[in-house]
Amino acid sequence: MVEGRILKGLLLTSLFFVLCACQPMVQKTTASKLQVAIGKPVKKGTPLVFPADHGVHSEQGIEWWYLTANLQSKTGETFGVQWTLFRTSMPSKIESKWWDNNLYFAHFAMQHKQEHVAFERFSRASQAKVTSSPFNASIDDWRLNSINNEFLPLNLVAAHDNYEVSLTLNESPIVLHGDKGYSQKTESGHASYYFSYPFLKVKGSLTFEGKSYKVTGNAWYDREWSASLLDKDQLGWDWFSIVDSQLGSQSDKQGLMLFCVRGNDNNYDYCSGTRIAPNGEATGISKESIKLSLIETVTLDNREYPSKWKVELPDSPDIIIESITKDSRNQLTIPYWEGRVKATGGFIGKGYAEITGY
Amino acid sequence: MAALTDVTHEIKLILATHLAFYRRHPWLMALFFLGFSLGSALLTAISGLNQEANARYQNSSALINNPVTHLIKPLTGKYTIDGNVWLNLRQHGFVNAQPVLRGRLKTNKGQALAIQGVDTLLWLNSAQFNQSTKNKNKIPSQLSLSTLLVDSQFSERINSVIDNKAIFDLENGQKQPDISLVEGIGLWAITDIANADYLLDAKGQLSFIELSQVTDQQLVEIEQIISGQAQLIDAKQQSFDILSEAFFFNLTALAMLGYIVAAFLSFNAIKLTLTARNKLLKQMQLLGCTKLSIQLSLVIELIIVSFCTALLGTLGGYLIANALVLDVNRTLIGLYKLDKALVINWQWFNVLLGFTLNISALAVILLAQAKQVANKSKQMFYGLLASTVVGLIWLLNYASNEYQALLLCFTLLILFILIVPKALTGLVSLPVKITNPLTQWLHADTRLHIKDLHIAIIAILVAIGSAIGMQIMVKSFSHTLNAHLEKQLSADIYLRSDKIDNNLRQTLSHLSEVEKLSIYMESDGKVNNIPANLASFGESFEHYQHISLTSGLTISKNNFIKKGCLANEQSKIKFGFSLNDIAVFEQNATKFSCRITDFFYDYGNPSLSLLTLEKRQKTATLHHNIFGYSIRLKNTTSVAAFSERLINEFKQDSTKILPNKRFKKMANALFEDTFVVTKALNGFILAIALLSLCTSLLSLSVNQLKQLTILRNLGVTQQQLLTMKLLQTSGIVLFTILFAVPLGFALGIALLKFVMPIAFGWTIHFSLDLGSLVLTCLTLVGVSVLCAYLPIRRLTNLEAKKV
Repeated sequence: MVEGRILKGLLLTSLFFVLCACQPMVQKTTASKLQVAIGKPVKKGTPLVFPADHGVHSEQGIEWWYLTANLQSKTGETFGVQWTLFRTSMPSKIESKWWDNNLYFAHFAMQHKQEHVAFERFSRASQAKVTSSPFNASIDDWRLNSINNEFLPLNLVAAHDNYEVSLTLNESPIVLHGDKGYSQKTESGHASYYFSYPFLKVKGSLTFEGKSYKVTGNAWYDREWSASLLDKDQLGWDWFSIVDSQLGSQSDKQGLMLFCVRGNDNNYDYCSGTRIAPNGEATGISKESIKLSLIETVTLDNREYPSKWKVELPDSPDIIIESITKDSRNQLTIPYWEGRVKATGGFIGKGYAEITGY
Repeated sequence: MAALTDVTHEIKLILATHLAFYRRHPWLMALFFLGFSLGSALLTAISGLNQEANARYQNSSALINNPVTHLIKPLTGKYTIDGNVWLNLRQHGFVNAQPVLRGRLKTNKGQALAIQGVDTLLWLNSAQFNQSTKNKNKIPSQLSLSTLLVDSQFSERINSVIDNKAIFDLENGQKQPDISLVEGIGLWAITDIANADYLLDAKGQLSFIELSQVTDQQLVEIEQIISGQAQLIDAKQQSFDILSEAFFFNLTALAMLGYIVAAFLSFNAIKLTLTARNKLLKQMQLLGCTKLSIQLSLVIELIIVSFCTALLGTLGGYLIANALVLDVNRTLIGLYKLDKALVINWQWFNVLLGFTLNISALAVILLAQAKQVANKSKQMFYGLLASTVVGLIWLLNYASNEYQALLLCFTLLILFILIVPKALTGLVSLPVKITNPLTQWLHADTRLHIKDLHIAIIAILVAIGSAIGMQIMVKSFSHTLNAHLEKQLSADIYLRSDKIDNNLRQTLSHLSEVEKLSIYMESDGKVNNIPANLASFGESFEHYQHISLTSGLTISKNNFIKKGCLANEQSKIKFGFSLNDIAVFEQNATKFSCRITDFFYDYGNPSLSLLTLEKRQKTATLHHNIFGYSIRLKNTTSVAAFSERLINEFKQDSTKILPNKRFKKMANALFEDTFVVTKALNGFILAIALLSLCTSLLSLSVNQLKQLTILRNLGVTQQQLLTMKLLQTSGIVLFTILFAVPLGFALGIALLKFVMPIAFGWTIHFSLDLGSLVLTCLTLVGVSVLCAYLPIRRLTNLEAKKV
């Protein structure tokens, strides 16, 4: 979801002008102070249909295929992996094999101990491919795809210089967030369709700084599409996806997803969350009952980033979330922080956080 | 420490004195600077062009500062690659493969604009793009996918139509691109690949793919992936690099000549300054300056002068190169298969080159002034003369590569440089009985000053000699080329077409007005890895009668029997083929071999060319291009009437019908460009030489003031003085020209008989345009006299004032 913020960032920067072949959405951006809208807003009550919804939703202008993983090698070393394919609409009158009115870009990041690396690729039609069945989302040789005709198991392949992953992902229930996948994002009604595969069992290999490891672990896969996600006066987003029982059996896994949007005053002004049962059953956490506060920060290049949070939820002791790799900034064309976190207290587990707007 | 401070102080003082000297003699300083600056300007201009040609793949077409090492090009004989080849490469992880689509758009005023589509999404990737701030500046901050970046040098082409909505004639009603003018992106306007694909209606085809940072192992993989669909080529081993060597070699040689003339100019200046400062240096020594300080300050002075002149020269070179770049590009693209237009950038390397050259030239000049050298000047003169003559004789008999051919030209120059001043001195020393006192004075004065003018005379000799040589070469080339084209393009009408319509061909050839109808088809390929083409004109030898054989024979049936074919003269001279050799023409995986039965003249073509019969070329299953039909009419029919018939009866597009005259004009225009650069450089050399004369006379004039004052006091009028001095100058120049003419002839012949065949592979028959040669000489005398007039005028005026 916070990725929406990233896209919004993209739309608002001059970068977008660089490739904005057609101006309607930019005009809307500047004309309306309230929202950014690309394409048609999602409609509540639209049932999710599979496998079609694994593919592109061209009516909505913002969409992503988002994977984060906490992995461990046989020798006990831990790693974090993020791979995301973004799509944003860019209508144009150009008719060509090389343009389908969308800009695609992918981010691939890895972390180990306190080291974090991130790479990006921008691409165009034909070069980027998304098919729903069999599922495939790829840019060049970076690829997330179904191994068989079924959606699961998945295969992730990405490489850049001395960094490489080749993972298979399997056995996770599907989780529909919000109201059967319809996920409200702001008070003023911005929304997306949002579903996840939170307990993907990972097996494979990775190369970090040229050294190869056999790894296992858990991955969380998010799918989201929308026409607009945020109010214009919102600064950024802190988003968490945490899975407990990392060492337990696959059937014991529980999950927690929550996000809080920060307003102009940098205070959290809209939160939402989902508790996920081992079978994938989702229980929404009402926005009023979530209280997120910052306990510690870390200064990176003269800017403060959160490194420890306290989450207060009803019927649960306080949860402390702490970042593992302190400098997890993806210093890419659109910069943001995306890294591993561990949770203690009322929820014990590991996961990923994405924080933007700092 | 104190000693060091003393020396520094002393050097400062000496340098200040030198500076004061320069201030008092500004023209000397100007001469100094001009000489070296102009010299290094010419050299750096050519070096700049050459470097840009070599470094043209330093940036990718998308302006990313990532040197392109290899190119994936269409199979020989094809013009495009399927876009899926690029996608396939990227899917195999070759993300340093970048697509380029090239084509031309026509403005609604009929002018063409070359465009290239690149992956502009690369510009979004900050890490990659920010590496090159220079390129980043070229991209406007706001642009869209449909923006077309056009170099501002083409602004006129665009601006003239920008007011009208439709800028380009687009066949399928595409949306017009948004034009954005930018500096320094060169010949090809840049847009996104999708927009280029859309505007050119390319249907996903690409012109080529650029590769950077690929290992040998990856190259093997790439070759496997693209096998049968495209070909992998080393960026530095392209046809252009092989073909243009001779072109750049000749330009460099010409610029070197310019540098030598300029160095003589400075030689003159430095000699004059040294002589003038001799007294000053002695005084400094008397006043207690150490020899070391004087020498050190001289060294510092030389370094400063060398650097400043190199800097100025490079700036001049940069401007010259930029002024010539369009012509050079036209020539290189038209004749030498250049695939990327050159853009001239400022290069500090050229300043370094100029500096090194200047400082070495200055060192040589200083050494030449040394007493030990001066004492042995006679031995040195005869030694040099003897070795030059021996070298000349050797080169005349054995010169076999372009360096030796060029050395032959330089040997000729040195020979004349050695002889002419001696001859002049000898001439004026001849005991002549003169009764007129003024003439007596003039004779004595000339004898006295001829040595001071030596350098100016040499500069003029070299400049005029090379100008005449060049003129002979250009004239001979164009004369030969004209005669060649006259025969080769002897058909009456050329009908362009990219395919052969057999019905039309049969019908036309059986028409009563048509004497002969031939075609022209050509296949591109390689012979022994040299860029080559294979062409045919028809089914039988009769269609080849417009070709001139070097043997002087006419083409007969025998030339084509037993797999016989004809090869161009270049194949023999430059590429080493002999009669009855088997030439294997390769195109991709297809091979065609034939036996060379004779050689034909093929001026202006830098590559190897073979002629075979149409049927054989067709059965060889080579990719080929059809250029159209050539029609020779019977005498009873007029070109106009037949053209009408072609349009009305045979429904041919009138723009595709080219009467012979227009066709020849187009062929000639292509070659004209080749000589623009040569002529421009030659002009510069002449200008330097004239400047040399002018400044030499100017500096001489100071020394002559006293004598002229005496003459004036003796009753000689100002008019008489002026006439006398002008007569003296004209006499010297005229005499120099008398030597320059044979030098020019010798150089011209050396260029025609050695440089041209060795470097380009074609023989050119000597042809002389005496009228224009005389005119050139007279103009030069006139301009020289005018150049001489100014300082003399100044001298006589000065003298008048004093009186």
